[in-house]
Amino acid sequence: MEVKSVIQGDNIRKTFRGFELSVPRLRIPKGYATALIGENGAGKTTLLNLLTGIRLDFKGDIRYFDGEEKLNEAVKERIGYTGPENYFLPHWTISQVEEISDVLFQNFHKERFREICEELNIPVKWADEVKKLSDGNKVKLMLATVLARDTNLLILDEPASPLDPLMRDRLCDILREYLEQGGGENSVFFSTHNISDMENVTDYVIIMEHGRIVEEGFTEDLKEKYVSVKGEAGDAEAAEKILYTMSKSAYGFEGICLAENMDRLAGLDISVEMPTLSQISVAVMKANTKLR
Amino acid sequence: MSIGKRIKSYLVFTSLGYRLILYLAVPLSIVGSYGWIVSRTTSGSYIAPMTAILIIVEITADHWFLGGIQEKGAEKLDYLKTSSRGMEAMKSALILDLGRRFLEILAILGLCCLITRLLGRDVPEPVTVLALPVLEAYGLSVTGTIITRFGSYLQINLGVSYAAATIGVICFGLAAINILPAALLCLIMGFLSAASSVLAVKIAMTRVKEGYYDS
Repeated sequence: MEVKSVIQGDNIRKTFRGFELSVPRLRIPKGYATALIGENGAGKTTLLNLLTGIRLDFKGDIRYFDGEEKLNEAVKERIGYTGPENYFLPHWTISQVEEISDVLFQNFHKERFREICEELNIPVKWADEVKKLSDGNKVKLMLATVLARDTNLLILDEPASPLDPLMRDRLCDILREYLEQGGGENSVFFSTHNISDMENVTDYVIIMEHGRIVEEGFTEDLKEKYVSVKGEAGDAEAAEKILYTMSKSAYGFEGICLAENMDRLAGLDISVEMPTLSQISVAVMKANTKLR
Repeated sequence: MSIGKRIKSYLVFTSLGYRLILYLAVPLSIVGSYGWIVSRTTSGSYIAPMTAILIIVEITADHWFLGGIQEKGAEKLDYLKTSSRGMEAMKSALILDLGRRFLEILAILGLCCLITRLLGRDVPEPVTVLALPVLEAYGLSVTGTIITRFGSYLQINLGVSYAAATIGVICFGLAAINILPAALLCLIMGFLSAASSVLAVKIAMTRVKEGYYDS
């Protein structure tokens, strides 16, 4: 199946204070929700900032919407971005956020914005300042501003982190609805640490470590590539040489094994199951981290 | 961007409370108190203290408009950067604020002069009576604003505003005792007004655009 790209980047490189982001090839599939996963400092926010035009000091080529366009006025109109901080001016009120959105974006709909604010139960007055909102409500407000526009791509920097479990579930529904409404034209690219909560909306995964992409693929493909393995403590030593990552205790071991290496575990008393996205992500991060 | 959107982009940077105070309460209280003071005295004009008050008000009020916008590391404008109109909206807000400031100072001090004249006071020539205070209030307040935007503390705005107001009063004094001719002072303040207006926009925009770059 040929998958088109909503974003395609080549040889993206940025260095800053000893950190280097280096992405030789970036493809975000069109029509899907893509999760960007990685430990703190992996370069997720830096990459998202480059893609949204918030940072301009980088080398390489980034194109949008089937590789046809560079970041220009029309492309910016089609992208909705929510950031982790420094997003709105702190003294803005919700009413001012509505007004500035109307100034900044041609395709912003005030009525829709108010409906979404009500739907998301942002429990504040319109004269309240943004800085007085809880972190969760700030995220809801950011989501309301981007969902009130006609866009084809949402780029969301850790939208789930400040949200409660119920709202995370609602967020997944919102993203699913957004993709369905687009009929294959809408895409979502979000970074997250809340892999379990966001798994049911994640079609494609990109895992970053130290400014580099270390794994990527459709969730279903990754779940075939990796296998979750559990076994007795007595087999831990033998399994350790074969498993991709492993943790062990006095009672046994569990870890992730590459499917292609499963034959080598023959003879060991193990149980296998399909890993969750969270297990795969942690295993990949563990295998590539500098954390000791 | 249309004129309407430009005005809107200026207004959204200010809260309703800010607008009510700066556009309504300040002019009414300054003109009102000026009229009250003048009507209760028999001679003289009190334009100099009103000019000093305007300088203090303008510099202090900017804290709630774009306080700290030029501060190092202040990149609180991600939402503006995601739009191709963001920087234009920001520039419009900066320019319109200068226009609003000049017109408001002109209107307030103009009304004060009118009150003085209506009460039959001996009003000096137009240069001294209106041009100097307007250019002084505008030029010194904009210059002060350029300085205070490098910090985000209200105390900085207050300190700079008092210093600027003091300079304003000293200038009036120099003109009053003929050490410096009023016309020359007007020329100096006119130059300061023009230069500070250009710099206020240029410096703020440069600092905001630096937010696009890490190095």
